[in-house]
Amino acid sequence: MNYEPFVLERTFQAPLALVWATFSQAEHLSKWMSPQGMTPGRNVMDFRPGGIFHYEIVPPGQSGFWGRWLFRDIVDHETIVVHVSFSDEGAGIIRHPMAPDWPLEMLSKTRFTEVEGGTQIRLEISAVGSDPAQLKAFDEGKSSMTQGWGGTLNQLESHLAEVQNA
Amino acid sequence: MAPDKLSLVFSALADPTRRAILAALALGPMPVGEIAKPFDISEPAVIKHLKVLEKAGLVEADRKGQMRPRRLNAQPLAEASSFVEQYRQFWEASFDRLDAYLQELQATEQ
Repeated sequence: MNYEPFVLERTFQAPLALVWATFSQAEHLSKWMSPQGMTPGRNVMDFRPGGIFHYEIVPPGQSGFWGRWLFRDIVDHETIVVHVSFSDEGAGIIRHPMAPDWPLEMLSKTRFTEVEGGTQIRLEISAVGSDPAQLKAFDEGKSSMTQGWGGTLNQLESHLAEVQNA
Repeated sequence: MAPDKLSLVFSALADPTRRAILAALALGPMPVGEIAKPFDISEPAVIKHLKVLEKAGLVEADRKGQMRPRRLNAQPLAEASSFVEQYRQFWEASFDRLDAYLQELQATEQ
């Protein structure tokens, strides 16, 4: 079975230590992680396994909304594994404010590799099922059924094309 | 708590037999016996797969007729596709900003 998750790779022309800092320190994160046109608001960062990054994002002329990263695993200068979710002011997890069907939590794994002329980032994102059995599967490091994205997408596209031509 | 709809869609699509069933149903509604034909698995096994697809909203059973033919519902596929597309756009834009920010940081260091 193909359990490829959604993957994005990018090489940055900067040393690994600096790129690592931009992913692990709140003052850096707020410079690039806010959606276009929105302002970073308050945040609390506790960068350690089991800790959270709780951050506010403020759209123009509106009250802010909150996001939360729960750090599941950190290998210094190598990988950061987080559960990403929307959040309330008290750092609890909530559903997507505008899309209730959005997965409650996403699993995001960022890998840092030194390459010639810079640092390569490999970002993997998959949905964390709300089913406790699926969460348990993640904890045990097994391939959860919800991890398959990239591989399914090609299939999905061909299905969509077929259906639309039908 | 109700399971996430998109998570159900993604887990339904993670299995090659279920993807093949969807591909077959893209050609038109079919009774279970006909869906099962090309596969080397029992009809009850196919019904299990169909239940997973139905739970994800990808397949619907016709109420009429004893055969209850199954038909494809493509809407969740479109939703899943646009969801992943939004993620890609968000992260590509964020990485563009990070790229510029890293250049800025290194310029001020020098």
